[in-house]
Amino acid sequence: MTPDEPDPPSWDADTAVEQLYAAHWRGLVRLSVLLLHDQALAEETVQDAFVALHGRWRRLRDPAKALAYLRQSVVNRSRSALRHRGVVERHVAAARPVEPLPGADEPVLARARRQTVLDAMALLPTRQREVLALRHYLDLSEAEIADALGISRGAVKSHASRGAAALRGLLAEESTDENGTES
Amino acid sequence: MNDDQDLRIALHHAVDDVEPTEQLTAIRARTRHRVRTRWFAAGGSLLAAATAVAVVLAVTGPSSTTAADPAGDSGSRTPEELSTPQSVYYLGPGPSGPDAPESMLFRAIETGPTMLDLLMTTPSDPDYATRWPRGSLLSYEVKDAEIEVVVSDDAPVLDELARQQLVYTIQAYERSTLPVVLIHEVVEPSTGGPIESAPELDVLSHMSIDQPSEGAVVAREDGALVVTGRGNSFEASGQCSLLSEDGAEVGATLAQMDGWIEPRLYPWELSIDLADVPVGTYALTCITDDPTGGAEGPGTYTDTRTVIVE
Repeated sequence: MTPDEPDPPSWDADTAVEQLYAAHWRGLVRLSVLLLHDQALAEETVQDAFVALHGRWRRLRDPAKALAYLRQSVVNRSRSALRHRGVVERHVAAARPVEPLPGADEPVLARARRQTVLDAMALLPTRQREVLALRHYLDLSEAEIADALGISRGAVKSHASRGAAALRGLLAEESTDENGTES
Repeated sequence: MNDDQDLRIALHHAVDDVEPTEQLTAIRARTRHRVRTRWFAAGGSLLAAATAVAVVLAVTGPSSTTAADPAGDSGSRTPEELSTPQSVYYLGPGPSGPDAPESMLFRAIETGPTMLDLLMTTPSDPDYATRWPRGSLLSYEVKDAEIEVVVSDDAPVLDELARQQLVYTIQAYERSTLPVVLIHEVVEPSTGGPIESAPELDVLSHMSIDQPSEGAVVAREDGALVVTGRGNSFEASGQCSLLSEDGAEVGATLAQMDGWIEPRLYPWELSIDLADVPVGTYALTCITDDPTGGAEGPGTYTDTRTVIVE
């Protein structure tokens, strides 16, 4: 009977933020980049999520819950940021199904490919994009995704399959387009 | 279950070389700031806090700024292009409605060319206003112990709330808690001592919506309108309602804040179900709880947004 070990880690809010930052900052920013297509905005969004977590820590206490909270917060905040950034921008993008790669002076092929995927993601409906990112980037289960997005597992399933088909379609379109126009 | 390997690879490739910059320092600064405001708040009024700090004022050498450097180009931070939305504080209605106009600050997320420009631009929300006319703020520079802001010589003399509007906005943008010193462009360089941010509950509206922004469009297919904000209300509870143009409530959700005991704003986040909400234009109205019905205290604080449901 040595109650020395604190069973759930007894972090205070500052420690929790530091620990979770060390383990998840990069992954969460990348998740947000997939959703937002903009690194600076993604960093700001995830930073806000960490600050919010700090304020909420006394209620969460459990690091597992904290990570789920962070994810959910990042997804929600990314969605809001995107919506805010402009209906206009979104409509412009939608009217231009295949975004030309930004500038011919963008030499690095890897970067071009990454742009292509991010551009394609940006064209998907919000929910499909979110489900794809959580499922294929963070490897979350259907149940975890349903929790994070506050939707049913059935809805996760249908967004996942429709999103996958749409993303594959866009990527295929882009690659044939490249081959067709540029020798 | 892994027919989706191609998507997994594509998504990983898309972001695996994204190397985020270090932001832990900024996060620490922001979370520390919250705690610090508690100390200030204990002291009471905004004026007390501001004047207490003003005593520290060292008169800045009068002729250190010259007309030769009007935009403060030498080392000063001149407006930079902003590609991302920024937090800007604007003046808006105080408690108990429009009879106390523009008596509190609200945080809005705005996109514009520069942070200083946004401060000098009429905000997109018609309930908000700024006290800084175009051309009044020229540049600023973050120094070791203060943030120096160069104001135009013909800038109007502004009251404490307008100064706090500037302080809160710059501190948020710079993720800093340094006090702000106003410097006139040419005439009479120093215009007073360092201005610290006042305690949150003294100057910030106790109910403030962060998202959505004014005029935001939500798709019904999203299922819900996600609303985030900050507030401080009796027993940590407020409420957000979606009102149609004829004033009918089509949806409402409790805004459960993270707390209410400490004198600061607490974040809240909620969603309003859109399943039964017809396409149209709505007023999203968030309000603090006032159990006394106005008999005691300042009354209820409100923030609103126009939201379009498609």
